Amino acid sequence: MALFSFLSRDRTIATPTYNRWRIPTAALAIHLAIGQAYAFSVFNLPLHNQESWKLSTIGWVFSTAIVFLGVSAALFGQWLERVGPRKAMFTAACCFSGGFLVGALGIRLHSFALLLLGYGVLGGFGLGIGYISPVSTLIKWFPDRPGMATGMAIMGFGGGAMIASPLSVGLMNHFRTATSQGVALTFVALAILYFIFMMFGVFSVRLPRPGWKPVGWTPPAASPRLVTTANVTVNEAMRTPQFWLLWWVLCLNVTAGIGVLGQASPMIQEMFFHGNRPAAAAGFVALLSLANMAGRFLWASFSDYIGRKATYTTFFILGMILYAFVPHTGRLQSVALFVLAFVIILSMYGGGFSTIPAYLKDLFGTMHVGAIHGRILTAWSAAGIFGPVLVNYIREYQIDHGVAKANAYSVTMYLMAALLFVGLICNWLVRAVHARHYFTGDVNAPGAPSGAATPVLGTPEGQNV
Amino acid sequence: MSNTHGVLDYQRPAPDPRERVILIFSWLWVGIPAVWGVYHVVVDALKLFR
Repeated sequence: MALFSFLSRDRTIATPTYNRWRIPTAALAIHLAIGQAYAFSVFNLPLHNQESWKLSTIGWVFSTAIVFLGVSAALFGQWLERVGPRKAMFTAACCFSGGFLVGALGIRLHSFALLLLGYGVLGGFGLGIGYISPVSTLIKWFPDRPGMATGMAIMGFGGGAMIASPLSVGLMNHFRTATSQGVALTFVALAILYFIFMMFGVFSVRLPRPGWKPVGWTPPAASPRLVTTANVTVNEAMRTPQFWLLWWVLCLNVTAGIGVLGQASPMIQEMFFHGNRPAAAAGFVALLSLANMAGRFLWASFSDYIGRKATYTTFFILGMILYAFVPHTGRLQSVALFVLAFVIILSMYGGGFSTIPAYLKDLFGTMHVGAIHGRILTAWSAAGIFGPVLVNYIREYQIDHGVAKANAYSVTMYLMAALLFVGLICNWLVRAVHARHYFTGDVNAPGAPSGAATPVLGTPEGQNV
Repeated sequence: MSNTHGVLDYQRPAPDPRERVILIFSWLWVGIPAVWGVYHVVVDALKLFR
């Protein structure tokens, strides 16, 4: 349709004067919005009070959204590479905001199924498509600092909840009446606000011209061993052991972090405060959110200097030491050491998410990196199930067998350290992709698999530095 | 004068003032909500130390 022709890939090519530092803002406009998902829990109690749905039932809305995030990222990655980032971002904005609107209708009609279908399924598609939409574009604009660029965007996903939480509470207070908690109208308001906010990203995003590279940057003559200048298609990448090793690297790193993230508040209360300082525990959770967000940017940027493999090696070795150390902080009754250990652990949890796109780019090239990233995010969905289940069930098992609540986390911490050891082995096994997997056609040719070209030498354009 | 790629400096497009304004607006668009969100989390995080 002509009306939507501005979404086409051809209309997204940057002019020579386009400044590449606008791309992170386009990516942040999407990620800061969809990061709202992490703040969905602010609606749990109001929905429970208003609709009498069980809290455990309402919990399914968030879980469904995360499952569909993984599913849609895996399914639509190849489509994204074909149609370009603008159409993908627009689709993400429509799905995400549409999810809120359908969810609002569900609340209005007292239909939990409609809420689940709206926010969980439709919104989940928005999350998945939105999450992967700016990644390959960022990598193409920042071939000199791919870790920093993707870290910045994925930091936005970690930070989205920080905006959504006070915003949602404020809106619910505004719309609350004697008979309603104001959740439905809050959903409508969020749908409108997030759609406008995301549209900024849709209109800002541009693809570099074929052959573009940053002024003053020359690709290193000799690449580090793991970094390729070739490209691997998404389907071919899945036939390599490297893809599956990285799948486990991501899954195990996320499992270790996500397991404790959900239990952070009861953990610090039971180990140190004996349930007497809920405000301090809430402060601890907030501090972990900051560590998670900052880690996404800092670790991914750091990986540009030390390499991705060394970064993940640091995550796993340092993580093992810290998880093994946490039970001792309980015995020492040192809150400061406990907090410090978890701040570093959660920074590495965030860093694991943000460093993976650059790791994939190093191994498989830029051509299909967005699609490959989408496929590997299924590891996140799997970790979302493994992590909390491991922590919750092991803790319950121990308490049922007479272990004091304050000591019940020790075994879990040692188990997390063991998982990280497996992750360390997987990461250690990663080698450069064999040349037989490389795409041998011309990535600039019209008939080539979708995706933009790898930057080439000698054609500096634009003011982008 | 030529840069490291052998491209003459005068061949580079001149900086576009409009582009600079858009760039600043872009960072404010995402920066202001982000700072507001971080402020709320920092206030919450400080409760740990009270």
